[in-house]
Amino acid sequence: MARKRVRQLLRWAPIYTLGRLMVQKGLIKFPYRSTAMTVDYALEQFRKTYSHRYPSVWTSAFYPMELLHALDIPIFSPEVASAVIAGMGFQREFLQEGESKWWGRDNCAFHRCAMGGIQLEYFPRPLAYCASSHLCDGGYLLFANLARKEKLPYLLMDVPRQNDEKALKYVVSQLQLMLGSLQDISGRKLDPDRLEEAVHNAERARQAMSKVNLLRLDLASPLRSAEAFGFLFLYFTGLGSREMPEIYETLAGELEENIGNVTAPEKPPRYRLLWLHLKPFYRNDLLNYLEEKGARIIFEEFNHVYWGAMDKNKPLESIAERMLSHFIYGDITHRLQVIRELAEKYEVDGVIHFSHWGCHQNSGSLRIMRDFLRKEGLPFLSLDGDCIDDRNYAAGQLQTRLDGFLEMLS
Amino acid sequence: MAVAGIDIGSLTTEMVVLSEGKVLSSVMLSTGSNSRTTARKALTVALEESGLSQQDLEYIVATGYGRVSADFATRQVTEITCHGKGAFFLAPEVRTVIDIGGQDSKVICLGRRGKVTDFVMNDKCAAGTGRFLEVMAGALEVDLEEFSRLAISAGKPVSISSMCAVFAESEVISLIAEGYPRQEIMRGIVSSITERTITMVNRMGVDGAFMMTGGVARNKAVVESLQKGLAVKIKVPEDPQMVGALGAALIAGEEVSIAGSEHI
Repeated sequence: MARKRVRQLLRWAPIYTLGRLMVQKGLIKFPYRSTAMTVDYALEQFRKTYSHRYPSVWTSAFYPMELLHALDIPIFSPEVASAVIAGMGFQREFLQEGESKWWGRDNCAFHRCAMGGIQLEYFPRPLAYCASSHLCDGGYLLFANLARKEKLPYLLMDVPRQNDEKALKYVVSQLQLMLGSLQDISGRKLDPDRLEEAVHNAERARQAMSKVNLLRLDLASPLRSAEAFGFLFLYFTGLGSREMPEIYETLAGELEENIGNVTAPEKPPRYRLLWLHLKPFYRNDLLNYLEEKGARIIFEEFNHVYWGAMDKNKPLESIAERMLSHFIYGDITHRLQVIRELAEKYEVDGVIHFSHWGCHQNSGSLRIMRDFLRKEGLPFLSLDGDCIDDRNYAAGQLQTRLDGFLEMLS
Repeated sequence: MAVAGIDIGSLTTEMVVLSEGKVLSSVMLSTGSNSRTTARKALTVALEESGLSQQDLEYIVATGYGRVSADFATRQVTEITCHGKGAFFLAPEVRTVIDIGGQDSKVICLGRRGKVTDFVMNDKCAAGTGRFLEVMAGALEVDLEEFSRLAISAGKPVSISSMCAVFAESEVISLIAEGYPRQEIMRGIVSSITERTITMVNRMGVDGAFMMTGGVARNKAVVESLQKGLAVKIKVPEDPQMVGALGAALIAGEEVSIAGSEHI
C-alpha cells in the first residue's frame, strides 16, 4: 500500500514543483549553489516528463540531447533515473522486478533497474524510445525490446566506429533523419534558430566545463569527486539546454571564489588518483574511504571535455563531431591517449577503473589499459563492482583492494 | 626489542615474533567464530613461547581479513603486501606469489626490490580456495592430507564442471554414486582449482620465479598440478601458512628501523 502511494506520488507532476520550491527557497541544503541549480533542473525535467502537457521521449545515455532541447521535448533518461533511484535506496525492488521479467542478473544493472521501473509503472510512458548505437549496447537493446512490447516508435541513431569525413557525413544524415522523425512523432516544428541556440548552449557549457576542470588543477579547489560526479546528470541530459551553461558558469564562479578565499591551504593528499568510468550511486563509503586513507580522486574521466568547439552555424556537423570524438568509442588508442593526458595534467600517482558489472565497452579493454599504464609507470587497479546493484558491492573486499593498491603506491 | 606480525585468516590465525631478524616464536591457531578472542590467544601463546611480555613488542602489524580484530596491533597492512614481503624475504628471486588461503586466492607480482607492483584477487566465491578443498574432502570423507596423497596418485581427472562449492559438492556426491574412483574425482577437484588459479596468473602476465603461500600450498597435488599447468617450478616454503604473518612482522621491523633512524 505504502509503495503504491509512493508510486503515485512519484508520478504526480506537482510533487516536483513542490521539490523545486523547496530547493529554490533553500529548505534543502547543498554544498554549492550550482548543485542546487542542478537539482532544480533535474526536478523540472522530471516534472515535465510526468506532466501530460509535455509529452516526453526516452533517451539512452549518449543520444544527441541538443536535438530534443531544440524541439523543447522533455527528456527522460532511464539510466540516469536508475542512478537517482539507487541514490534514494530503492534499487532492490526495481532490480528484482526487472529480473523477474527476464532481464537477468548478468545484464547491466542500469538497464535492469530501468526495466523494473517500467514494470512497476514508476516511469513515465514516452512518445518514443530514442537511442544511439555508440558507447553502450545495453541501452538501445533495452529500448528496442520496450518499443516492441509497448508498440511505440523506436528511433535508433547509428554511429560508426571510425571518425573521418565519411562518418561525419553519415552521422549528419542520421541527425537529419532523427529531426524529421522527432518532429513527426511530437508534432512540433523545428525552428532553425532554436537548433542554433541549442548548439550555442552546448558550446557555452563546453567552455564552462573546461574552466571548471582547469580550476580543479588548483589544490585549493574544494570540489570533491563525489560532488563532481553529481554534475554528470547535466552531461547525460543537459547538452543543448539553457540551464547547463548557466550551472557550470556558476560552479566555475563558486570555485574561483572559494579558491580565492583560502587562507590556509589544506594538506595535500598523499596519493592523487584518476578515476575511470562511473562510481556506485547507492549509498556507500568508497570515495570517503579513500579520503580517510589520505588519497583523493583528483579527476574523473567522465568529466573530461573530449569534444572541440561547436559552431552554431554548423549545428548538425558540430553535434556529429562531438558524438564521433568520444574517447571511449572507436579505437582504444584514443582513450589511452586521454588517460595519459589526464594523468599528466592532474599529476596523479595511480589510476582506478571502476569496472561496472555487465559493461562490455569498459571491461573489454581492461587488459590493454593495464598494459599501457604499466608501460607508462602508472599503477592501475581495476575495481570490480556495480554502479546500481548493491548486492554486487562487498565493502570489505573492495576496501582490501583499495588498501592493497594504496600500499603499492607508498 | 621485538616486533610481531599477526595474520588473521578465515580458517587459521598465525603470529610470528621477530627479534633482530630471528624468529623467536611462531604460532598457528584455528580462527573459529571469534577472531578477536583468537587474536588475543595467539598473542598470549606467541609471547609465552618467546618468553616475552607484550611491553617487549615494540610494533605489531596485523594482516588478513580479520586484521581489524587485532585491537592490540600498531598498524594494519593488507595480506597482499604482507605475503609479498614474506615471500621476498624467504626467496629474493621470487617475482610472483600465488597465495591460496581459506577464503580467497590471489596472485601478487613483485618488483626487483620486493615491492608489490600488481595483484589480482578472487574473493567473490569459495571456488578455488581452501574452503572449497575442505568441503570437497568432507564430501569424499577424507582429511586434507589423505586427499592430497590420493589425488596425486590418480591417473586422470574426472571433470568437475560446477564452479560453486555447493553445487560442486552435489556433483562430487553424484560422481561417487556413479562409481567413479575417488582418486580421479579428487584429481578433478584439484584441476578445477588450478584452472582458476592459472587464469589469474595469466591475467597478471607474470614471469620470474614463483612461490606459493597459504594453506593450500600444503596440498602437493595442487602444487604439482599448478607447476604442470604453468610449466614453471614453484617454490613452497617450509611453512607456507606463516608467510603472511612473517611479512607483517618484517614490516613491523622496518617501521621500528625507520623510527629509529629518524631519532638519530
